[in-house]
Amino acid sequence: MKRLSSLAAAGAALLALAAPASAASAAARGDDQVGQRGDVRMLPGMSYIFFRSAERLDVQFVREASAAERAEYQAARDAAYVQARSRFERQFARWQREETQCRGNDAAYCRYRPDRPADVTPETFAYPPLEMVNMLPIARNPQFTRAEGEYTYLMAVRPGTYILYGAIAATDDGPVGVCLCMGSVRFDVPEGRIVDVGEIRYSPDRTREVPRRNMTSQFLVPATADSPRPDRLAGLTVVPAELRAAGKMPNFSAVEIDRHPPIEGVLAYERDRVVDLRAEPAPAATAGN
Amino acid sequence: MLPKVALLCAAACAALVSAAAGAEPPRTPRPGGVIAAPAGTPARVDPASIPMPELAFQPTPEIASNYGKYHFFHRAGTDFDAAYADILECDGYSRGFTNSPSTGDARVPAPYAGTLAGGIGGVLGASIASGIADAIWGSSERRRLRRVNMRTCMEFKGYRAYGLPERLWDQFNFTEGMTAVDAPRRARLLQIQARVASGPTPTVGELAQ
Repeated sequence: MKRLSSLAAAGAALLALAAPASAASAAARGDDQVGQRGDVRMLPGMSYIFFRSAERLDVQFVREASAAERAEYQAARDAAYVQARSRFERQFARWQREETQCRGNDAAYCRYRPDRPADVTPETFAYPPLEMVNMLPIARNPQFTRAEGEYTYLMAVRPGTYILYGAIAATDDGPVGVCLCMGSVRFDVPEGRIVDVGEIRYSPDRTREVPRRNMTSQFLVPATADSPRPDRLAGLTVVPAELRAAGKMPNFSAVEIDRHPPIEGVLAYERDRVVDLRAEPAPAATAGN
Repeated sequence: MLPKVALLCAAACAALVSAAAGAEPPRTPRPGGVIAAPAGTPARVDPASIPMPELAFQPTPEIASNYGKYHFFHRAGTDFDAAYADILECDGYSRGFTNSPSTGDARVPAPYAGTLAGGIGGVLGASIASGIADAIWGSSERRRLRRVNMRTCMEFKGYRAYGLPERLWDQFNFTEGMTAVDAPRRARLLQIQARVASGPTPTVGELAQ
């Protein structure tokens, strides 16, 4: 019961964080996936992510939080902690009273009194991470364009830096799929631009009982300036995504884990350490350091 | 809207477990391009206080047929502290599974439909069966997910997997199906696993990567 209540509190906190503050923020969370009809309009303060795939799959991206968002998140977390701690102290005081009253008392309400409430401390306080609030799910439907084995997706998003998190579907029983939790790619999405991420490819044999390191579940084929695009994007500013390495991420959805395969000049690994090949080289050590 | 909320809540619960295991948000690259791992720094444990379990056995075809389920990890030239940190990080990726295999609608990602998770969805065909299916298959599916994620994570870190008979494996490993292993037992078993991972190189039972 304690665990349920703490999870419920965490869920409520998450929903409060995720409550739409504006239409733009709702769209940025994935409510504005463009289908096969209508014109594409570039709304002020918005951008688009575009990609193609041979499969119709749910995909998740994570938008990196800005410094202002982190500050806002921390303030909300601190306030929630104060409330949770206060609630715990009230429950604990009540539990202590009942313990005293029930000493030697075999009444029904004593036999079935609640357990000692779980302590709430800064270390144990459960609160959803900011990255989950910034998760951008793109559903398998609707597609922007569709043909047999050739689907494209267009999603209105808030400008920022996005990370490919993985092909993960929401089901009635929870998330299903594979995350790129142990290394992925990130890219900037400037305001007023349609960013072509490229093609997402999937490997159907990856999720076996014994996974193989040389078999990846999913990967991006980067777009180029010359990549073919639907006619409906004609006249709009489309730029290929400039991919960079993204570090490890928690397994938020509790699904299978994987990592994006290395990309020449972009992403490499030293064992499990993610190496950003586009990062500035480390400064040479100087005497006295 | 509801499915999104459900996803968020389900993911939140999983993330809470993950966070409790020491996982952290993504970090920015350090100079030189190496992006730090999210694992926290585990409390110092004296490896001399950790018993080395029995690992010697005579392989048979029957034992070898279960190496996929019953195996441990080892990396040459690794000390206990590094092995324990690695195992803790991988454990964080391999716990708190909330999804059951009873995804009774068509939203299971198609490339993964060959797995148990996807296959059962097609058989049952409706989410009304989810509770029953979860009770039947959920535990084994969660145990499978733990095995897959532990192995994926540890092999990315350069560890090799070695098979064991179930009776030896049971001495210092655990499965997690419908119920989670309590924290003290988990810590003790993970420490023994780290002791093994940083111990003598095994001579039999190596699994192909």
